[in-house]
Order: sequence, then C-alpha cells, then structure tokens
Amino acid sequence: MTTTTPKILSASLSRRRLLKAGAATAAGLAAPSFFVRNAWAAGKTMQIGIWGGVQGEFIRKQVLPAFEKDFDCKVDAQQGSTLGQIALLRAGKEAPKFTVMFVDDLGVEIAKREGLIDPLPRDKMPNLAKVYPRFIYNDGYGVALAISSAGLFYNPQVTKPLESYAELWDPRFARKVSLVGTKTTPSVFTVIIAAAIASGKPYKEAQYLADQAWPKLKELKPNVLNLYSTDDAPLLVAQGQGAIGGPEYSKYVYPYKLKGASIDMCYPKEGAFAGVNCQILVKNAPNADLGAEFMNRMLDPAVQQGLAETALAAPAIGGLSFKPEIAGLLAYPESKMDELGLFSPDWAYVNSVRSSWIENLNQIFTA
Amino acid sequence: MSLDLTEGSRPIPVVAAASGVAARRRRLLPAFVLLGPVVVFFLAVFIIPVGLMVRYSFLQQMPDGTLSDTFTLANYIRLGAVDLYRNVIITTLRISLFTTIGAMLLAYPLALVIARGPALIGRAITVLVIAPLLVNVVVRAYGWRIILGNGNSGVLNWALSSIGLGPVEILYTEWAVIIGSMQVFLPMMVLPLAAAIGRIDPAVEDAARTLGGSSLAVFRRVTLPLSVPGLGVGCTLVFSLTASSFILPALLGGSFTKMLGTLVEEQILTVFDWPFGAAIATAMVLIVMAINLAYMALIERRFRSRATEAA
Repeated sequence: MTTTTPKILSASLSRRRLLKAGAATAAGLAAPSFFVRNAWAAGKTMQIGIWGGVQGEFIRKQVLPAFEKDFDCKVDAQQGSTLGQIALLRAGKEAPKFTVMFVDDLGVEIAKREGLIDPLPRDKMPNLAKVYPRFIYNDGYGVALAISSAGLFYNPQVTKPLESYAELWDPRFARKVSLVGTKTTPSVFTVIIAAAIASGKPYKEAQYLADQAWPKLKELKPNVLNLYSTDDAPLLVAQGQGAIGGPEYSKYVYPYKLKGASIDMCYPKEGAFAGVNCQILVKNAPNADLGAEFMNRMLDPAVQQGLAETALAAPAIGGLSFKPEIAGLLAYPESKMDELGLFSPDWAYVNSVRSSWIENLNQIFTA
Repeated sequence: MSLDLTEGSRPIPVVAAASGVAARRRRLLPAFVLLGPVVVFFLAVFIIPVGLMVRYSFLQQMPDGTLSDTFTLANYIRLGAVDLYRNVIITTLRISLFTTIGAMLLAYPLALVIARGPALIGRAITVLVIAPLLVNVVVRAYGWRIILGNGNSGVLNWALSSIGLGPVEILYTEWAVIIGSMQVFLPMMVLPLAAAIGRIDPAVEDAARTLGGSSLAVFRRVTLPLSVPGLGVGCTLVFSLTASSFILPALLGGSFTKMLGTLVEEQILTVFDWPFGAAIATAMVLIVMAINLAYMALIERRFRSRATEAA
C-alpha cells in the first residue's frame, strides 16, 4: 500500500514554508517581550506633521518605516512649515487629528500660549534625559531635534568672510546683498542685527530696540539686491548674483558647499543665531502614547546622528561624534555652540511684534 | 366657471395662462437640472468661501489665536492709513496695466495671423500660443529667472554684454514681473481676440480696401473697432490675473516688488493675521472688479454711441 500526501498538506508543509515558519517562531521566541511590549500599538494609525526638505526625506525613508515595523502601526506624515503646522493645530483644536508636530522654536511658544499642546510626557520619553537642557523649551512643552546656526552666506570668489555685520553697510557691497525675505524666520534676525549695530548692544538687549533698527535698515537699502523668498538663494549668490546674503540657516547653505558650489558661511563677531527644529505633542491628541514613543524614537542616538549628518544641523543630545568633514560644519558639541554664541530670541516678545516688524521691513524695502 | 383676467381690453383665459406657465416650467426644467450641479459647485467652492473671507475681513485676530466676536472696520482703516498698502495697490495696478497694454500689442498680430492667415500657419501659431499653458507657471517663472538673471549669469545679460550693450538689471524689478506676466497671460489675450477677429465678416474689410483704405486704415477703422468685444474680454482676463498673481511677483520681483497677492500670502501664512489678509484680498477683488466694470461700461457706451451714429 502506498500513501500519498494530500496536495494541500504537501503545499503547506513545503520546506520553504517550514523554514519561514521556523524563522518567525524563533524570532518570536527570541524576543517575546518585544512583541508583548508593543502589542498595544498594533494596527493603530497616527498622523504627524513633519518638515520638508532633506530632514523630511530622512524621516520618511529612515525613521518611519522602522518605527511602523517595530510598533506594527501606520504613521501618516504631512509636510509643512512651522506656521502652516500651527495653522493645522488651530483648525483642529476642538477635535485634534495630529498627534505630533514638528515646528521651529518660535512655534512652541505660540502653540503653548494658544493651548494647542500638552507638556512632553517625560516618563514615556527616556531619551529626553540625553537632551542638552537648553534645548527643552517652554517648561517642557517642546524639545529640539536639530539645531542650525544662522549667519551670512558668501561667495568666496567675490568677497572675504565678514568680521562684523556692520560691513554689510559698506559701499563695496552696493546691490550685492541678497537679504532674506520677510516670510521666513531669519528676517527676524535681520531686525535684531540692525538694532545691535545701531545701538552697539548685544542681541539679548538689541531684540527689544527695534526702533533703532529701522533707520539703520533704510541705510542698507542701496546695498540690497533683493529680498529672497526661496531656498535656492545661496545658489544664486554662488552663481554670481550678488556677493553675500542671509542671515540664513546653515542647513540651507552647507549642502550646496558639500556639492562643490562656490559658497560658504561666516558668523560675524556679533554672534550667530540658533535655528531650532523642535517637536511638540498635540493637546488631547489621538494615540498620545504612540506619539510619545515616536518622539522618544526621534531622540534616539542613531536617529539623531543620521538626522544631523543628513541635514548638517547639530543634534540636540550629547555624546555623538562625527567625521571631521561633517563635524566642521556643525555647531556641536555644546562647547562649540557657546563659542558661536548661538542666540535664540525671546520668541514670546518677538511673536507679539512680528506683524509690525514685517510691516516695517516691507515699508523700507518695497520699492 | 372660470374667472377671466383682463389685460387692457383683451381677456386672457386663466386655463390658457396656467398652461402657458406649465409649458414654460417644462421648458426651463432641463436648464435647471443642467445648471444645478454647477450652481451647487460654485456655491460650495466660491460663493461661501468668498462670503467667509469678507466676514473675516471685519474681524480681528486675537493674541490667543482666536478671532474677535465683534465686527470692526480696523483692518480697512489700516489698509487706507498705512502708506505701504496704498503704494502696493498702486504698484499692483501699474504692473497690471503695463502687462495688459504689452500683451495687447503682442496679441494683435498673433490674433490676426490666427484668424486671417493661412490655415496651417494659423494652427501652428495657435499651438505655439497655447503650448506654454501646459507648463506650470512656477517652472516658467524659474525659466525667466535664468533668462533675466542679473550679472553675466543671465542669458539676456550674457547676450547684451557680448554685443557691448549690457549688463542691465531687470530681475527683481517691476519690469521682470511685467515681462513674466505678459508671457504667462498672453494666451488669455490672443484667444478671445482671435475669436473676435474671426467673427468679423471679411467682406467688410474688403469693402474698406475697395474704397481705397490702406491696410493701416482698414485695421484702425474696421478691424480694431469690430474686435473690441474680444479685446475687452482679453484685457479683463489679463488685468485681473496679473493683479491677483502671486508666484510671478514672488519669484521675479524678489520681494522688492510687492503686489497685493504677495501681501495676502504673507498675512495669511507668515503673520497669521487672517482678518487683515482677508481685508487685503477683499479690497483686491473690489478694486479689480471696479476697474473691469468701468472698462466694460466704457466699451459698451462707445459701442452704443457708434450704433447711434450709424443709425
């Protein structure tokens, strides 16, 4: 008598299937605690707001797939700018759809003041302990993920790096300064720089002396080629349209430098500005626990290292090391941040007067 | 027994009147059915948002991100009181006017060739005029940045310098916005103009020529006046689109040349003052609408006076 294995059984017991099943079982046995620990998140969908550009691309390609796999969840990431993200939070204040939002440091102040966010859940974010204390904002409502330093970009074939911002007013730069437009945050730095030059005071005091900035900026007008509003402004200077520009974040300049463009950055003696990309937890957010896990993941040393190397912006946590060619472009570690004098404005004050600052800038520079 | 209604001395039977109304309703029903979706669509995506925008313009943005409950004219007072906004309105109108005039001058020869030239060439010109519409306006604006670039990196300056006439500074000036707008909105002038010229009976122009009119005289006395309806449509489109444009002044004007569209974007997305942004947008719509209505009224009056003269 011959026995024949039924077709269905033979298929189900094929060697490949057995190997697969064995591997899965072995993995399950090897890490039972992992599956059990994250089972609560299985099947959940979370909506977050992230940045665009290289940082957004890194998060989409490197961070999200691994996070979704580890928690068996789905993360829906929407790209946007700080004020755009704040607008989304305002629109959804009554019934929030987003769980985590990425905004610049100025956005943390606005979101907290308007009751759009909750404090960071420290007990669920152990990586917060690795963050430099200076990068935890507004009493623990926001934490930095990446820190750019803002200074001037210049074409080394046309000019030397500036010692002082006061040199921008020099006639040799007539129609050669590409000034940042009013739409982005660094336009705030323009006002503070002008106030510092006019008053002789450091940024910390000059930020409250904007009245002294306006006549000084009027004097700058003959040197201004344009007020740019696109990220390619450093490239235009590299191509010979103007000699110098900014103030701008290093993350928008150094990628061009690394690709060989004739562009570099300088940080005049008055000091550099900090451009801080942060994350915040939306108030009454759906899946807040999953959001806390994600925010914790963003502060993981491996993620921080990758984000910093991709965006050429300093990480917010200590203890990382970089290759020399990258390290030279980052305001890192903390001691180097102090050397550069990275300054963060009093956003509570600046946000309250920003509308009138923009109006004044427009009055001065609009033909 | 039915009552009779009278109109003067003529009796109108009620039954006949009722059946007339019913017939009219039956005739109009398909029109209502066909128009219904369009009306609902416009109500949802145009009338209601515009109504909300106008309402917002009478509110104020509060520091906590909410809007005030009470209506105020503060935004409009600010719009009139700060010279920046008056200057921007004047700049917007100036750029729109120059763009319209420039597009008109470029469009007439093209429209004449399309309407009166050999069929093959007419079709080729039509394709050439329409083809740029297939390219996104942002891409076209970046193209103009390369052409008009200051210094020797710009194609125009490179060409001018090579014959000893350059360099000139056009990028980041009003002229850059006007040149870019003329190119982008040219089809909006050419197409209605070509349609209007195409509707002119060639026999009228032939008659003028037979009576000894030169080509210029025929164009000035016959073609131009009879094509005014198409010109009106073209001017309205080009003027309105230029006045409300945002991308071109942002990329070619370099923020030196602020227009109302860029101000609206700035107030909404940067300052986050929706009510003031709404006030600027409302003012922009009203100004453009008023200018267009005045222009159309002028054309209509001119036509009526011509018709009276002819009668």
